[in-house]
Amino acid sequence: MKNNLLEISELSVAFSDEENVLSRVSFSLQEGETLALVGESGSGKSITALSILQLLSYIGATHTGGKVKYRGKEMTPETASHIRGKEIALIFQDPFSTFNPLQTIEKHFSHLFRYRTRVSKKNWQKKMISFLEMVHLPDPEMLLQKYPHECSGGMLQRIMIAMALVCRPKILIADEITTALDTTVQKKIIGVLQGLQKKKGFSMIVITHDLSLAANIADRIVVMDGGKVVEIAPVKDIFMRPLHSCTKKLISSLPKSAFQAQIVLE
Amino acid sequence: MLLEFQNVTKRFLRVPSGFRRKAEYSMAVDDVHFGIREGEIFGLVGESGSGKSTIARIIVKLLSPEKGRILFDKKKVLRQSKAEGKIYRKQVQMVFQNPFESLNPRQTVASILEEGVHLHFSHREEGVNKEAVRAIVEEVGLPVSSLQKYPHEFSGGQRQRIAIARALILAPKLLILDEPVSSLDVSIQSQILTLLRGLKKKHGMTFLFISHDLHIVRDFCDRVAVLRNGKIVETGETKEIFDSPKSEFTKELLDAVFRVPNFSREEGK
Ligand SMILES: Nc1ncnc2c1ncn2[C@@H]1O[C@H](COP(=O)(O)OP(=O)(O)OP(=O)(O)O)[C@@H](O)[C@H]1O
Ligand SMILES: Nc1ncnc2c1ncn2[C@@H]1O[C@H](COP(=O)(O)OP(=O)(O)OP(=O)(O)O)[C@@H](O)[C@H]1O
Ligand SMILES: [Mg+2]
Ligand SMILES: [Mg+2]
Repeated sequence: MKNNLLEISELSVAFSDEENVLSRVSFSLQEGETLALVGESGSGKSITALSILQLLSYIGATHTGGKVKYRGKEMTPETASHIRGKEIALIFQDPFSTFNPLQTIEKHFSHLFRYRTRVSKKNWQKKMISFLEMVHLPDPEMLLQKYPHECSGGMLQRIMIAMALVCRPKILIADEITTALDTTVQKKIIGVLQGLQKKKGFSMIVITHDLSLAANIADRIVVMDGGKVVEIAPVKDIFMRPLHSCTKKLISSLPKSAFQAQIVLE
Repeated sequence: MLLEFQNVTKRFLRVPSGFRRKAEYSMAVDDVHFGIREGEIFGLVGESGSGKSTIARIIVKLLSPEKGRILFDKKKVLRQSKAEGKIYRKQVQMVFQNPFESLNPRQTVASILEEGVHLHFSHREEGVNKEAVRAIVEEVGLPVSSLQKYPHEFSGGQRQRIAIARALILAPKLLILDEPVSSLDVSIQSQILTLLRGLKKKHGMTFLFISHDLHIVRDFCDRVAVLRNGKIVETGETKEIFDSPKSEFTKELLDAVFRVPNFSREEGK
C-alpha cells in the first residue's frame, strides 16, 4: 500500500458565528494519486482547498475542528507558509486571486523564480518560455509582455497552470481549471498533467463540476454535499454503483452525449 | 435580424512601437460576419483565444472595432448619439466571463441588483422593484438571505448566478452570456438554462451564448458559429454543425469532448 501524502481528518470550518460550512470532512490523498472533488455549487469544494493550505484567514473563516496532515506532520499556518506554492500548489478558481492587474505575465513569473526556485536569473526567460509552451500557449515571448486583462480566459487559466508547475509541487490542487479551455486544449492540458504525473510522480486534487472530466482523470472521486463528504470511491464504482442519492443525481443529470456507452443506474 | 455583425475587424497592439521597433498588431477579430435573429439563442464556440470575448465586448461597446458595421434593430450601433447610446445600453446586457469583472466588491447583492433596476425602471414603485429583486434571486437558485451578503462571500458558481441575475433583472432584448455556467454543476446549469429558455419563450428575449461546453451548446442553442483565430470557420443550425460538421476544426473540437468511459466493459474483462 502506498503512503498517505495528505490526510484530512474531521475538518470543520465556519465563518464568524455562523454554522459550519464544512463539517467533519475527511479524506486522504496517496502518493501519485489523483482525486476528483465533485459536488453541487456551494457544497464546499473551494473552501476545502483553502483550508488544506491554511488560507482560511484570508476569507475570514476559521477552523473549528479537525486537522490536516502532510507527510505525517500536522499543518499549521506557520508550516503551511513554507509548504504552500512549493510542495503543495493551489490553482484558484478565479484568476483574479492569482494575477496582479498592474504586472505583466513576465513579472509574475520572475517573482516566482526569484522567491520560489533556485533557477539562476540568466535562465529565467528560457524557462518561462518552456513552461508556457508546455501548456500549449502560442507565441510565449509575446505573451510574457502582456498584462492579465490582455489575455483571454483560457490563456489565463493556462498561465496559472504553468505558474503552479514552476515549483515542481508534490501536490497540485486545481480548482476548476479547464472551464475556459476549448475541448482540444482541455484534452491536451489534461494529457500534459498526466504525463508530468507519470514522470515526476506528483498527486492531484482536481476540483471540477465536470463529471466526464473527473471520470477520465481521477483514481478516486470524493463527492461533497452541503459541506460534508457524502461518498468516496474509486471512479469506476462511483459510476457503476453510486451509493449516495447526491452522487446518483449528479450522474443522472448528465446529458446522454456525455457517456461513451449507456450506463444503467440501479 | 436583431443584431447584425458585419465584417468587423479588431486588432490589438502586439508589440508596442519604440526603439528600433515598428508597432505590430495581432488580429483578434478578423472580418467576422454573423447575424442573430430575434428570439433565438445563438451560440459562439471555438478555440480558446479566438476572439469570442472580444466580439462580446465590441457588441456592448467596451471596445471599438477598426472596421465593420453593427446594426441593432436595423439601427447603427457604432457612432450612436448620446441618447441612442443610452437606450442601447438598456437593451443589451452582458454577463462577463469572470463575474468579478462586473460585481462591485463593496456592494451587497441587494444594492448591486437594485442599482440597475432603479436606473432602468425609475418610473416603477419602489415596492415593485424590491419584489423584482427578490424574485430574480430565487429564480437563479439562491436563497433570499443572499441579498445582504457581499460578492466575496459566495462560491464561484453562486457568484456566476448573481451576475446572471443582475443582467436578467434589466429585462434586456439581447443578453450576451460569456461562459455563464462554466462553473456550475449540471443540475444548477439546467435550472439556469430552463430559466433562460422560459424568458425566450415568454418575452422573446434573444441570447448570444458563448461556451466551451459542447454538451450544453448542442442542447441549448438554435444556431452556432465556430470561431478560430479571429475568423468564423462555419455557421449553421446547431444540429447541422454537430451532426455533420464541415470544417476539420469543428470535427476536432467535437472529437475531443470528454466522455464517461464505458466502465462496465472494463469490468467484464
Ligand atoms: N467569504 C465567505 N463568507 C461567507 N460564506 C462564504 C464565503 N465564501 C464561501 N462561503 C459559503 O461557503 C459555501 C461553500 O463555498 P465554496 O466556495 O467552497 O463552494 P464550492 O463547492 O467551491 O462551489 P462552486 O462550485 O460554486 O465554486 C457556500 O455556500 C458559500 O456561500
Ligand atoms: N485588451 C487587450 N489587449 C491586447 N490583446 C487582447 C486584449 N483583449 C484580448 N486580446 C487578445 O485577443 C485575442 C482574443 O481574445 P478573447 O478574449 O476574445 O478570446 P476568447 O475567444 O474569449 O478566448 P477564451 O475562450 O480563452 O476566453 C487573444 O489573443 C487575446 O490575447
Ligand atoms: Mg468553488
Ligand atoms: Mg473569453
